[in-house]
Amino acid sequence: MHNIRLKELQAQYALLTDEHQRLDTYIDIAMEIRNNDVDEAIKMANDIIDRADAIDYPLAKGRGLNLKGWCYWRQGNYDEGLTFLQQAHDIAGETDNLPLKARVLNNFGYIYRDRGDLATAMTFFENALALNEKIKDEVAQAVNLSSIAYVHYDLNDYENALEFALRCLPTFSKAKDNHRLTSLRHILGNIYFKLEQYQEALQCFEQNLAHADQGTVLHALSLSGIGKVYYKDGQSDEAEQVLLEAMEESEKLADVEVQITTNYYLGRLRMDEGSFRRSKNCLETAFELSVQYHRLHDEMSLHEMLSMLYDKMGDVPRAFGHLKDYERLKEEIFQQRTLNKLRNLQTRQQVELAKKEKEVAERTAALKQQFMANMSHEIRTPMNAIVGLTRLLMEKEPQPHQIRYLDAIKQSADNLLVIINDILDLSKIEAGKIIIEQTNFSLRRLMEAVRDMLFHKADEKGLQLRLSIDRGIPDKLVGDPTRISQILINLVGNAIKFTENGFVEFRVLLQSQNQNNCTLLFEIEDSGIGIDADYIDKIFESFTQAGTDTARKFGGTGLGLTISRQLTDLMHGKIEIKSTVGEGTTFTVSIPLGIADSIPEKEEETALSKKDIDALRATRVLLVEDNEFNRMVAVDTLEELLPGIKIDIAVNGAEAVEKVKLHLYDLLLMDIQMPVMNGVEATLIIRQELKPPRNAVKIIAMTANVLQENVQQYLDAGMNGYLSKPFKTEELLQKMSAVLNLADVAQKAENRPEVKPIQETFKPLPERVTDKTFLKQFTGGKEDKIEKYVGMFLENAPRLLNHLDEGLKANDLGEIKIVAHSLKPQLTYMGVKEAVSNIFLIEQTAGGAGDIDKLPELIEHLHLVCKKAFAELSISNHTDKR
Amino acid sequence: MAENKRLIFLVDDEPIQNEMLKDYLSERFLYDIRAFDNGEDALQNMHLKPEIMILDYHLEGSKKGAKNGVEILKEVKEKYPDTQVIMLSGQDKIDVAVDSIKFGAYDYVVKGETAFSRMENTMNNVSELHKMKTINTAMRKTIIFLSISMGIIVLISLYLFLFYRKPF
Repeated sequence: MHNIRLKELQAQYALLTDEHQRLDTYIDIAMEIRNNDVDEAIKMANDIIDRADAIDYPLAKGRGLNLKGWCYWRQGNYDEGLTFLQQAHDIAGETDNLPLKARVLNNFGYIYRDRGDLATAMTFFENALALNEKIKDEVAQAVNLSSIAYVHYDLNDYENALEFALRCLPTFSKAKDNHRLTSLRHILGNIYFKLEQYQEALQCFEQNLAHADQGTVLHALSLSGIGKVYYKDGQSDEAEQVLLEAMEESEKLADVEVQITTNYYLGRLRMDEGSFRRSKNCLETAFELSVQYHRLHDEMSLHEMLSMLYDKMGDVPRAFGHLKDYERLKEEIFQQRTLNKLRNLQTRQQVELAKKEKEVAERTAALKQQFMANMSHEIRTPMNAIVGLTRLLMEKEPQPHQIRYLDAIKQSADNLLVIINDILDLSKIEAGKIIIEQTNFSLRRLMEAVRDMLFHKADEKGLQLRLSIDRGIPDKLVGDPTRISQILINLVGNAIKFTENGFVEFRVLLQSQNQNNCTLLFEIEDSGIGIDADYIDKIFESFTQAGTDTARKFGGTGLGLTISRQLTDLMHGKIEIKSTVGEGTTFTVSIPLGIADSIPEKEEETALSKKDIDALRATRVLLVEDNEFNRMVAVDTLEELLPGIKIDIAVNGAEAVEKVKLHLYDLLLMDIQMPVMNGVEATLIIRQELKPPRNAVKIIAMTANVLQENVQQYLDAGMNGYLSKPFKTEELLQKMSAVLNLADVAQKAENRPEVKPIQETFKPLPERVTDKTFLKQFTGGKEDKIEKYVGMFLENAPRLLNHLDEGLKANDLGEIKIVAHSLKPQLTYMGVKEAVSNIFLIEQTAGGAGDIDKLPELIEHLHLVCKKAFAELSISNHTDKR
Repeated sequence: MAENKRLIFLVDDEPIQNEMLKDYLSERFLYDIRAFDNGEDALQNMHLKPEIMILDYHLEGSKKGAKNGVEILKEVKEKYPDTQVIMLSGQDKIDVAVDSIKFGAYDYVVKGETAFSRMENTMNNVSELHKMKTINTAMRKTIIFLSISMGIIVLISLYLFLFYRKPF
């Protein structure tokens, strides 16, 4: 049985050479041996402690001391046991080893439990359990649970004891930990015994007996258990036989627990038989042992028995003495039990409280996230209009002083955008939303891009901006170039900002390198104002600059450094700073990076070729945007950049879907947050519900939402790309050309018949435009009524058509919309379908949702339809009259 | 006379719509129906206390400067809150519906071929509501009446008991 594991360990031990590993295995062996031979285990424990000292291996020493403490507990030497355990505990604390600490705590619990201090024992077990939960050691948790079950058992709280014991049963079975399984079965047997479920109890003890070798503690324990059950069951002879066997074994093994149990039950047995003297011998032996070993519980039971015995023997004073002691102990234990229950309740409450707090915290975090996303959207939407319209005004040949104002607006808007982006970045980092990419990139290209970007700024202040890259650094690297350049731009930009004259230099050095990885050192040095030593520690905190007056003088949010530091942390790098006031500052950023085999070819990001622009000019675009100003910006920008481009407008997702159903577009520029139907929903409908080729239209999201998770959501919905508002013109063109297959578009534009749109939009009229099915159904076939309605229509509709013409002439869109709205139901009643009349389209177009230039054609077409309808209806009316 | 005859106002600037709806409703309900081609006229006649008003959303089609349906709705609901208003509109637009309900309309029906049957359903609901309200009022009155009579009885008996007791 369990010797298999022992043999395995011994075989393993023989093979090992490293003393550390040998010692570990030796401890495992001792742990096996302790179950059968406590004395041998103590010898081994001493051995372990010496050997651990020799090679300075504190953890092994701790384990050795723990083992020794355990052995002393088994032998009943509680004080010495406690001393060793305390030493082991100290070592566990020093080495910060949680598993050892948990084990030591559990062993402490055993000793206190045996001494009857159940509350303390419980505390130790629970602390051990908490530790084991932290390190997720299931078996160790089960050990603690079974210990807790023991305590409940001692507190006479058998229901709880059973619950805890049964909870750890499957874990031990799974772990095939035979020793633990048997001790658990033993306690289960005891619990069942107390619950008077003797059958189950017997089963547990017998199973254990079958697993135990003769002459072991377990064997004796099982026998004593079986004896107990027999006794309770009234099988006195069998009980006596088994108990005697157990007693003999336990005396040999010097096992206190079994000796007390067997003596106790033998004493009771003999008391029942009437042989008081023999009974007294047994009970007194057990009593002395329990007093000697401070086993409070056993002491209590023995007081009870002894008082009964002396009562029967007629020795009333003695009986009374024992009875009093019994009551006292019972009271003590009962008190502990009540306390324990109270404490249980408290713990439960604490757990609930913690759960609630966690929920609240999570909700708050989610709210904050939502708030940041909303805020970014709310600010960016008007910013888009400001930036875009300023740009458009700049191109309208403004007067010199107007240029100055426009420049100021542009500068302010740009500054504001930087601040918003900073705040967003920081909240993204704090929310853990930033994911560091691992892509191949060229270091030199990155550094040059940073220099080019900041060169102008340095030049304006008359500063020298120097860049140097260590020759030994591999150029092809793996990492997140966007974030690295963000850090560099922050730091170099900062250096330029705080330097009045002199230079700003940034260098890249190689700190270390092996085959696949290297660590780079980015140094940014300036000859600026420097940072006071008092502030150096604080500058990485949010919203802190070197003194509030600095912020006033130099502007900015002071978030740049915080973000740089957080990003560096995310890349497992380090950022350091050295500074002398008045002389300058040096930031040092070290970042570990991978070395790449190849890097992607540099993308052509410079201006698009003329051919591409021409191709783009032939595209047909549907702009979906609810904000009027942003619509203006987008339309004017596109028309300016790509004269001749065809732009349709939809003010929400639902309209966009309708338009896509009607027309073939090359591209949709789709805002996300819109009333009625948002951009994501519209995209889903277009992609999933429309038929090819309409579902394949390219869609670019235009959004003020810039959180990464949102972008992913757009792409998941089937969008082809996204553009963050406010957008730059080049960015718009590049995204458009990237998404569109330009050759395809050009081809399509050529094939698209350049005929009058009236033929493109309108199908030839059907043979009959009217249909009286509805009218017949409505009137129940009454001809006079049909006639009346048709007559009214014939009278009314021409009047409305006139209104329509007048509205068109006066360019009064509101009027057109209202008239079309009135005419619409009437046409429907006469059976003129929307596909034929386009009356709904007229209403919508007049409402500003479509191409207003098309209105005259649409209305002209409506006249045609109505003329035909009037003819059909008046003929039928005449016929009917006859 | 017309006091106990139940009354409906139809308000639509399109005569054909009014006519069709009037015919449709008069075949199915025992209401007196009066049609108006603008909201102002309807408002002038509100003293007739119509139970239901069916009101077009756009009323400015034929007559320039006419008040539109929402304005009429607001006025009706302000001065004659007992009249239930059902809005009619030519288009299925959520903001129209929201506006209508916000200002107290009972329901909102989109014009078209299905409008008539939907109107019938809505009317049924309204008159159900009206019936319930009437019953409720009647019951409330009954309860008040009963409690008052009970009170009087108790008072009288107390009075008799206190003052007409024969002294022993």
